[in-house]
Amino acid sequence: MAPLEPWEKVLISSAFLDTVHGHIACSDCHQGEQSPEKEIAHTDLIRRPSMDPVGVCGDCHTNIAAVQAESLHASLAGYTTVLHARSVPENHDTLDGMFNNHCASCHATCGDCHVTQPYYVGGGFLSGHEFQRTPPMTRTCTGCHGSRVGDEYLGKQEGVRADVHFRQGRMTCVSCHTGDEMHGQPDNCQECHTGPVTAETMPREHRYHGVAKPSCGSCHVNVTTGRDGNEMHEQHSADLSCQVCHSITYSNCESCHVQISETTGNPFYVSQNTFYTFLIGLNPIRSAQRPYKYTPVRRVPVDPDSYAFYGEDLLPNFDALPTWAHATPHNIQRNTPQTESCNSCHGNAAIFLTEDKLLKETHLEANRPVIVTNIPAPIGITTTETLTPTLPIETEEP
Amino acid sequence: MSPWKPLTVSLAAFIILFLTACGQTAVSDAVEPMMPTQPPPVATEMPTLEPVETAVAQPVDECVACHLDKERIIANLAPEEEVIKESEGVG
Repeated sequence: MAPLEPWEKVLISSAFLDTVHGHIACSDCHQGEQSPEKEIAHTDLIRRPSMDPVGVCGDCHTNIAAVQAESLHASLAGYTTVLHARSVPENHDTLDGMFNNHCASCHATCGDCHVTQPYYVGGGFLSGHEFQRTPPMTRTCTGCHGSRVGDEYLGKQEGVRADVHFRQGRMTCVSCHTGDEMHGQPDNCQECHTGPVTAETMPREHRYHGVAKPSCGSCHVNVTTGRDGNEMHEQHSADLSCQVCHSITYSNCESCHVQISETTGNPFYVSQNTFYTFLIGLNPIRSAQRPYKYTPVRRVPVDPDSYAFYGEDLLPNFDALPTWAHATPHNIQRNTPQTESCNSCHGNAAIFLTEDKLLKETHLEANRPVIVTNIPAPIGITTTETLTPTLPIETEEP
Repeated sequence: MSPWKPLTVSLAAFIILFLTACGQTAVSDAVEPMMPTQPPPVATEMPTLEPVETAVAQPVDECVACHLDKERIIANLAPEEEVIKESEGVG
């Protein structure tokens, strides 16, 4: 994402003044004072007014503002869910302080998507303060979700092809991830039941909480139900997540440690190792919504001493969650190494997360739930010998 | 006595009666003229018109005035602080 010049970040366009939001007095949202002197004009200025979505945006966007505060973009609840799960209540305050120093800047307000580039990546107007109903993907979504999702999807990882949905469909994030999902709205209840819904909405605890949204089956209905004439889909649609066969190598990080700089006083992190791999593990969050037995797993960079700067043994329940987490890599391909033959996976221990692949002994117990101990037995036939594709073979770009 | 005298008298009486009748009708239909109760005003000088505000001057929105002006923003920019990147690895 190209950086904006400092003046460019705050220069409003005359076109903005003709929009609905342009007819609202600046001070209605930003406060401040009327003065030609910058210092006086910026007295008590609120730079990011949608930090209070209900108070600022909620006057008009009542339903969205009411639930947005509980959305993962606003709450970042996924982080605290796993931090607290690996810890004990008496450590929560310390960990929350660490979180505020190092992680909370990811918090996204309404304006971080609809008015400016996210604060986390430097901010600045997307288009002269004009509100964007649909945020531009590469200036908002992948500004934050860049190193993994964005680079995977757009094919920026060296030697790894872009996701077929982007490569051939030119689909953007919102093609699958709807506004309702981004805002944390529960399904589409509000199409009929208008009005604030905070009382009925349970805050999401993490990104894989509840119904799988979006799901591949929303578009590929016959594929996910095994009724498209493809024997592999018929055989495996219940026990494999789609990504097991249709994802390829993705990035993983390990050993992230955080500190406060002695020289600048700023928080910083050191992530010691990034590597690319594709590994199938057991599904650690198996449920009615995600019933499959196998799923790709991605290394999350936590270590038992990741937060040691803030105190000793802050994660006494480190083994409560695996450090190889359920993953949905955004580099979907129709044809992958796994789809070449049955024995690409059957009998191929190299593609599964096995005990010997854990780089750190300290992570063994934590990952028991995802480690594959019984590799599916090899079979003597291959798909190319026995199966006749019913769908045309994808014409891959060079 | 002239033989025309009775005829002349009758004719005169008829005319009087006729005119009287016509006169009553005319009076009943006539609009009574308005009598001025005071002399009409005499313009002695041109009236002085009070100034009437036909367009209210809009106050200048200082926020908009500044943030629409690239040069003014550049002139008011705080000096950039050098950001020292201390983090290492992929975040």
